[in-house]
Amino acid sequence: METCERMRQAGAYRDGELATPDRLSFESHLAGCAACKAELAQLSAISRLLTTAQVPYMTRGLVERLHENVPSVRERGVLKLAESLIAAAAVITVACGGWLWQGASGGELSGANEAAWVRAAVTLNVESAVSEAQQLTQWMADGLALEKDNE
Amino acid sequence: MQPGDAELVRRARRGDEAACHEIVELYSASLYRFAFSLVGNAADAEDVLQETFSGAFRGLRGFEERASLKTWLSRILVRQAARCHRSRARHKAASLDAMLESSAGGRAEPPAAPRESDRGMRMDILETLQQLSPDHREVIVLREMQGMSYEEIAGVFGVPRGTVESRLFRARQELKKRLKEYLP
Repeated sequence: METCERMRQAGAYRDGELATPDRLSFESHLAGCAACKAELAQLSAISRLLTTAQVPYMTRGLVERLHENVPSVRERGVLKLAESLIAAAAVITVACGGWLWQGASGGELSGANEAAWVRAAVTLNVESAVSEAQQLTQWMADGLALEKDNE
Repeated sequence: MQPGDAELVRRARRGDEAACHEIVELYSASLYRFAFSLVGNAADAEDVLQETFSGAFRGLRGFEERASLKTWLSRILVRQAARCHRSRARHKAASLDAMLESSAGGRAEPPAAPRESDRGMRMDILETLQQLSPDHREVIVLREMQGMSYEEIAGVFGVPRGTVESRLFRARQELKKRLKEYLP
């Protein structure tokens, strides 16, 4: 197949992306260049082929699922804040639990018992922290929303 | 940017849920077809689209209104499609390993001949798109199937316009080789 150094411009010409002087220059060149004419014909054929590709339209069901997954922007903010508070509460609770127990038991516990107590304390305290943190976060968000409404 | 987009984004940032739903309604159809063209099947396209909108609504504060909303959403979608491909490649490699271990050596199948029927040709084109490198597939889909300008495509990838032009040229040369049975 013949080639021409200006064949690279054929795509941009076909896409309407050449600046006017370049476009006019290429058109003038095209009149006498079989290679560039052939390149243009092949690019047009590729373009037509691509438009026939079986890309389906989305179903209404999918649109509805997308809408269902649009979270309330406030809810997302509340959840994020709740997660941070829970993490902080868990760290503080474990630290305080360990300190209190060491004090109450006179210093030493056997390794296995200590581990079991730690697990129990963390579980109980994190579960209650989840509920309390969510309540606290919702209260803060409601308070902020009220302030905003009053602005 | 489209005239109404700036207002939609501002409303969504302020927590207006209806604005988020409007964004879904306006852009989901076009983005779905884009996703499908990149990943080649409906299930992955839906996942990519879901992740695109999730990412967009989480990251609204990061949207700078210099680019259009369509460009910004397309940028997120391209990243999500790339993740989908990587995940698929990992699963494919794992199953191929498992298959090679369990079989006593098979022969490679010869490449399929181009299909004669119209439906066969359309399937070949989709498969051919999937065989392109991600860079080539993305620019071809954005230009030929989404109708984006070179400037818009450059905005999606954050590259100079000249890079888009080069990638398109190489992608088209690749497609010419792979689709030569269907070309004049």
